[in-house]
Formats: sequence, structure tokens, C-alpha cells
Amino acid sequence: MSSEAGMKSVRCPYCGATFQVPATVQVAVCPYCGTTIWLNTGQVFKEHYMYPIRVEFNKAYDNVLGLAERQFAAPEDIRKAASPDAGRIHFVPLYLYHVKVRAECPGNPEAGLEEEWVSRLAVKNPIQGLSINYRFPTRGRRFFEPRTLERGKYYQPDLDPKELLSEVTSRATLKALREAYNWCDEPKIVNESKWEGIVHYPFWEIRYSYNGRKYYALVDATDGTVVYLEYPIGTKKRGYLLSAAAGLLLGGMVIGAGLGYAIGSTTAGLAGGAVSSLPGVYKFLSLGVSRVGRYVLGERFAREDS
Amino acid sequence: MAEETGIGIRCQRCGAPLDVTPETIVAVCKYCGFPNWTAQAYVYPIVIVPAKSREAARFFEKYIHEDPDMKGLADKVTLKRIETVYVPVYFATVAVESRYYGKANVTLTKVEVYTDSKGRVHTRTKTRVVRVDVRGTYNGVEDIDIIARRSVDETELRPLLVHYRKTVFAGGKEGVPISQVNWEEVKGEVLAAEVAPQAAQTYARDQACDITYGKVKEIMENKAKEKAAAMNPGWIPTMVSWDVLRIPCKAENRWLSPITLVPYIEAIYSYEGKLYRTVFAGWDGRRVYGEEPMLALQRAVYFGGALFSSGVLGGGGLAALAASAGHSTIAAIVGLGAFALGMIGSYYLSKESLKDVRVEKEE
Repeated sequence: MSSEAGMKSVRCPYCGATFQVPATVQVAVCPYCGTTIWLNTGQVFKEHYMYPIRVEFNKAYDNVLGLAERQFAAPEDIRKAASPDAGRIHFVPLYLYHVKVRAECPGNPEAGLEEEWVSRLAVKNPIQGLSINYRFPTRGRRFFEPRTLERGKYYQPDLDPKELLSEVTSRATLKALREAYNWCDEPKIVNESKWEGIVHYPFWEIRYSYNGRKYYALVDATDGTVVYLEYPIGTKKRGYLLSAAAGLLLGGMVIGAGLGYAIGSTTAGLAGGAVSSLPGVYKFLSLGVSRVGRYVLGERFAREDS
Repeated sequence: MAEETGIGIRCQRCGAPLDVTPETIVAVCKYCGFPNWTAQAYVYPIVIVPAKSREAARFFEKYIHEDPDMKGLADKVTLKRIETVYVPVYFATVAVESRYYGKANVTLTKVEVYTDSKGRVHTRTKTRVVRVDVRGTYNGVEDIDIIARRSVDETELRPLLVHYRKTVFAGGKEGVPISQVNWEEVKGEVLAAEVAPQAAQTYARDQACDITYGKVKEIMENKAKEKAAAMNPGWIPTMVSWDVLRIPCKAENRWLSPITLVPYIEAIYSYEGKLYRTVFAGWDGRRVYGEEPMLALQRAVYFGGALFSSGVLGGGGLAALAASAGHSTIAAIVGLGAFALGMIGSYYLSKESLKDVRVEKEE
């Protein structure tokens, strides 16, 4: 069997199938039976599962339009005038970690304590619109089902899970240390954090057109949540946004000048009204002059507060 | 090995397939309600708060016809999907103790009014810094909710649990053993529990101490201010910084509930083609989390606020600063503060006016 450039062949120790993975891959997943193999040692890793596709393309596309319609700057006829171009499933690998860090002081083994479960994207080049610390919807985990892989693009994890582990635990370690300094000056860190396994997670990549221009969206295929969305800016809405920017600036100046006149400093009032309207003006203007509007699902991401 | 490669695990009682992963501790069959434990070691009490699944649609109707923001829109609302889901939760009580100690620098201010040689009245602000020691013992009890699912989005679950404590717990009730409910009536999808009781205890201690640090720090700040004020009559303490701040926290688990299956009802509805999501408490139908349409009038109100903020606070503030320069420190400070607030307000309110939804939740 000849290998493509930058690829290597792997033989699955469980089902015997041979498959190709990029040469940089450290943890390979057999696309036929789902067995996870640690390539350095040949060790078979059991904790691998995936989320099933529960949302079909039509539903995902409907959610994209439903969300686009909600956006202030989107054109009102988007549902009628937009048309779907392509839809593709991506099975994206995520590593799961159980973070548990203690900081010991004499007489108190738990002077600092942190425990949490986190996930991290297991590929170097993420898909557009997907952050590295995706929070799963509460529902829908299931054991690996290789059959469903035929439906989409399947990614082999190419990051080293052990390297990521130290990155994932560093925040907890700092916090545990900070807690322990309340007890003693030289706490000892006991890191019981573990890499727990891999999960493959499905996303719909959706491409659609509006007025001859192309837009992109990413949808969680297990619960239909739109994770990332690009949408057109409607002509009428652009007009509203630009008027709002101008109105806020002029209104701020007029009210400021009037109030300034009453207080005894018209110029300062005018300047104050103008300057303090600028942050708002920027908000309207930046959306008003963009080619596309962008929506990023906020609450599932980056909730790792300090 | 077979079980792990897709053939799946089935309910021990009715044989239906279960959604089970290596993380699962217990999976309740959604068809017959039987709890399937995946590891013997974990057998632990499990109770359910029965959902009024059959009334789900009625809860939604009631909400859109009675909620003040929604009533006017009810005719244009279409319910797309409504489902009952049970989420496994532990409720914990943790006792905390902290023998705290700190050395603080407290900044105090005093405003003086004086008359200059030409008979004009002025104000001037004086500041001074004093060092005080603070120590004491804090004893507290924290109630911690632990969602027994790993790395999930908790956005709508937290408000659900707030409401749970207010109603079910406050009413002296709790869940009932699963075997005692009529599954056909309370039926819903049950999420498998993934956090073992022991891990839940650790997590509860971690959380209880995190809360305690905040509370004790506030107590210490107040103590430091009181102490400094008592030593300097007529001066007002404004700021505290710490040279030494020690808040050692010791947490002890007092109680851990059984794994409690708490139900929520999720409804997806459309309004003028746009999609929105709302979550109701499964036991009493209270809306605990909801996205609501942003109407043109609401956008206009935010825009008006941004205008007020820029013109009145920003313009008025800077004018007040200019007019009072040189003879009234207080007016100058107020003016500068209003100007800064005006800038923040103009940004924040403009941003709000462009939002796609308004989110309301139980707090």
C-alpha cells in the first residue's frame, strides 16, 4: 500500500483494517470499528465516543435562517431570497479532561482545591467559527458508531493530548496555589488531572447565497444550535444604522450644547456631547459599513472565568 | 469490546437502547423509567421530581398569553417543538470556616469648605492613608448545586435550579424514588449522570470555598473601613488595599442529596419566522429562562437612552466640569464622572439596541 505524501499507514489492532492518517497524528481512530490507538505505544484506548447527528440539513438550514432573521441588520427578505448552496457534516475530535488539582500545606491536604471537567479541540486547524473550548449541549452523548462516519468529513486528532493536559491544568493550578497561600508559604501541588478520552462531535457546515453573495454558518448537529453565522446587511438596515450613527452624534451635540448653555459653557457641552456619543456611533457605524454581519454564540464559549 | 463499538447497551428491564458513554454512572431508560447502573460501585440513591409533561403545551400557552412582554405577540407565535428533559443534579450543603487575617491600607477622605480672601466659597478634598490590622473567624454554610453532567452548557440550568430551591426545597419537598412514579405520566428524556457522588462532594467543597473567599474579603474590607473611621472621626473611608490578606478556607461536607432528576420543558417557537427558545420548570411550568423578541419600540428606547447618555451625561458633564473649573472641586468631580458615565452609557445602550433577543431568567 503506497502512502500519500505526509501520510502514514496504520493497522487497527482490533479489526485488522488498514487506514491512512497524517504523519503528525499521535492518536488515531480506526474509521471502521472506532478503536482508538495511541500510535507511539500501540496502546488501545477505550474511552472514545461520539455524539450522534440528530439534526438533519433542512432543520439546520432553517435554524440558520431563523437566527439570521433575528439579527437587526439582516435584510427582511432573507428567508425568501436566500438559497442553500452546500451542507457538509464535520466530525470534529475533542479531548476530554478531568481537572483535579490540590495544593497541600502542612496539616491541610486541601489548602487549595480545584475540580472541573473541560474539553479541548484536538486538531490544530480548527474549523471557522469554532472555539477551542466548546461547551456541549446538555444532551445527546452516545458510544462510538462508526457507521455514521460515512456521512461526513472525519478528522483525526493531531494534537498531543498530554501536552494539552498541562495547558488545561495550568489555570486550576494557579488558582489552587492562590488558595493555598492563605495557609502556608510553600504549598505542594498534587495534580491528579487526567486525559479521559476522545469524543467526535458533529457540526453542519452550511453555505448559502443571498443576492449572489456567499455566506457561511456552523451548526451544532446534535441540537441544532447555530454556533457561528455570517449574514448579509440589508440595504434598508444599512440606511438605519448610518442614520442612527449620525443621529446619535448630532443629538448628543445639540443636547450637550443646550445643557452647556444653561450651565454656562456651551462649547464644553457641545464637545462633551460629541465625544461621549462616539462609542455608540462606532457601534452603529462599524455594523453599518460592514460587508457581512457576524454572530458568534457567546454562552457556550470561553466561560472559564478567572 | 463489542459494547464499545456501537452495538450499544440496552435497558436491563425493557431492552430498549440506552444513551450511555464511558462517563455514565447511571442511565435511566426513557421508555420504562428503569435506572441502569453501569458500575456496581456507584449504586447510590436516585430520586425524581415528577414533571407535568402532559401539561407542557398548556404551560407554553399560558406564558405567551399572560407574560406582559408576550401577550401582544401571542397571535403571531407558533410553537415548533416542546420536550421534557430530566437533568441529574446533586444538592450539597457544605460548612466552611475561615480564620482570616490581613493588614490593610485604608484611604480616607474629608471635604472642607472654606472662604477665600475675596469672600468666595470653595471646597477642597483631603485624603490620608492609615494602616489597620483585621482578624477574625468566619463560620458559614453554603448550599451548592452540582449538575452531574460533564463540561456542559449551564446557561438555562442554573436559573432552573434557583427556582427549584425556591419552590420544591422551600416547600419542604424533594424528589421521590423512581419506582414510585407512573412513568407514562411523567415521561421524558433522562440525561445520564456522569459525576460520581465522591466527585460531587469534592466539587462542592471547591465551590463553597470560592464563595467564602468573596464573602470574607467583603467582611474584612468593611471591618478595615470601620476601624479606620473610628480612629479618624470626620473622615470617610473610601478605598482599601491589602499588604497582607490571608483567607484560609476549610470546608466540610454536611449533606449530599440523592441524584435528583430535575425536569425542564424546552420550547422552541417562531415569531415572524424568527426562532426563539424558552425553558420552563417541569414541575410547575414557571418560565425560568427565555429568549424574547426584541421589538422596534424596545430598540427605540435603548437608542433614546444612548442619546440621553451622550447629550445629558456627556455634554452636561463636560459643561459642568468647564464651568466649575477652579472654584468647586466637587462639581468638577461630579462633572467628570457624568462625562465618563455618558461614554460608557452611549456604548452599552447602543449595543443593546442592536441585540437580536432579550434574555430573561430566574435569579
